[in-house]
Amino acid sequence: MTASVTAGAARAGGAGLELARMLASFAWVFGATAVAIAALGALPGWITGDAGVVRRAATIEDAERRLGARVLVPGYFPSRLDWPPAEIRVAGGRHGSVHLALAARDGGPGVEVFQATGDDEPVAPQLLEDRTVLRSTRTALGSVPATISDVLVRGHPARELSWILHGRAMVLRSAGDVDELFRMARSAHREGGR
Amino acid sequence: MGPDGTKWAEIAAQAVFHTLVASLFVEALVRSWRVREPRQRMALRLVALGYPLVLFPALVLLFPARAGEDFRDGWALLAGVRWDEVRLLGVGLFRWWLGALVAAGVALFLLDLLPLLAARRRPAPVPCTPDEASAAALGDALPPLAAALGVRPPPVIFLDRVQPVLFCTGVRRHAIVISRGAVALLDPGELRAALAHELAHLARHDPAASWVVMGARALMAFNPAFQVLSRAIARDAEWLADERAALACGDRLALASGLIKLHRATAGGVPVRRTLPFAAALAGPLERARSLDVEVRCRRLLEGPPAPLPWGAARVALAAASLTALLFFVV
Repeated sequence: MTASVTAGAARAGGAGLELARMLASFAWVFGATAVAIAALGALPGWITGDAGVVRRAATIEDAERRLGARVLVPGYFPSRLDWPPAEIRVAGGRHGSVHLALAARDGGPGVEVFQATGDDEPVAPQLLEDRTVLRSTRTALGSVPATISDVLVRGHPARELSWILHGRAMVLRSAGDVDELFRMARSAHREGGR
Repeated sequence: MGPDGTKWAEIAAQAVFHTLVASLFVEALVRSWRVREPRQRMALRLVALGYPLVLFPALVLLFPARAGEDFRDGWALLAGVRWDEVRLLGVGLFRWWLGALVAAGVALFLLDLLPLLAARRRPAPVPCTPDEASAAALGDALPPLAAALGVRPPPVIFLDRVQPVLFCTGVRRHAIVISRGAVALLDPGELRAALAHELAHLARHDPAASWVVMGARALMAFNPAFQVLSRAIARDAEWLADERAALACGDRLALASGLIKLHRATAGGVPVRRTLPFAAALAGPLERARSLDVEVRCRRLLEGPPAPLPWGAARVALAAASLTALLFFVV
């Protein structure tokens, strides 16, 4: 009786040890595979650096998730412009910059919103694209200093209004009415989105 | 490339990468668990082989959201297309490695297909009536071995040639092809063991399985991991046939000795036309001087029968479930 109990206990102990060995080996292989895959997935970002990459975002929320920051949009939104933005692009990884392209409903000139989400950071230059600044003039948005510039973007003339809002660099660009740019700029706030 | 073309290229790339991960994962499990029993090894490797044929299409069809940008950025452990952001000579690395892997897959497939096609062009061996001694040797050996392996004694196609030839054939009508040279080369014990090996293949319907695997390989010609895995499973099938033969004939040493003799006598010789795709991949040692394969098989025979590990089915289920869960996050 005692011998059979001892043999049974030994068998159970052996089975338990084998089970533990099996699970430990499995955990090691699974973990190593997952880490290797994750490293391979992260490698392109490490090589290129997220800063150099411009990516499209499907929605404002998507852009905010990628940037890890809220995107500010103007409170005043002309009814001639279409919402949601026709194109949303982000660059610079976490706390990088965002570009919202707002198309006009009537086929007229649209408005582009650029902003850096990191404090004291400029808007990522790869979002502003290849533009030539022809002339810059100092101006003000209430008590906030701003700059209005005549620019050439891909050979087309446009106006850019740039200023700092709560430490963030903001740029509004349009080939249309400059007053509209000022009205939008004055209305920009943190809780925006429509 | 249009949007549809890009979508299919991404799916093909995913299939290739998933199979690669699945095969490496399963190989790591086989080694870390020290799986030595050939049935268990085959079962685990079949998980990886079946992955691109069953589990991967299910993932693509059942979870279309995996293809979305949100999933790529927010959930995926690895998104293959991100490698396109790394450029080499103006082309994204994603396209480079996809091209390289597809080329490797096609090359591996052709490596076995072309010899098969070439073999089918050679004239089929002409069977003849065996001489008295050969007929007696075969008549003594085959029926008891067939009974031991649970198959009907198959017809023997006897070739009157000095070069040793011994293989099994036939998807529905099984047969064993053997030459006068093989009967003369092997002693009675070795002949029994070698015949038992071929009968073990027939008992498991390996000739039919070889065509199924070849068809799957053609379907997955772009997938190098699939090609390598199918070869590994073919080697497992050889090992399993060795084990069953050794059990049936009761003489592991004779089987090892017969293998070495046949390998030595056929290495570098002109191959006889074979009618099975496995003939290239499975019975390679006889045709292509795969000395290492023969050495490994002999060593295994000398080491004794491998014991199966406990919880074999649970291990296979664990491997399949964990692979599916892991690869869900690879797009």
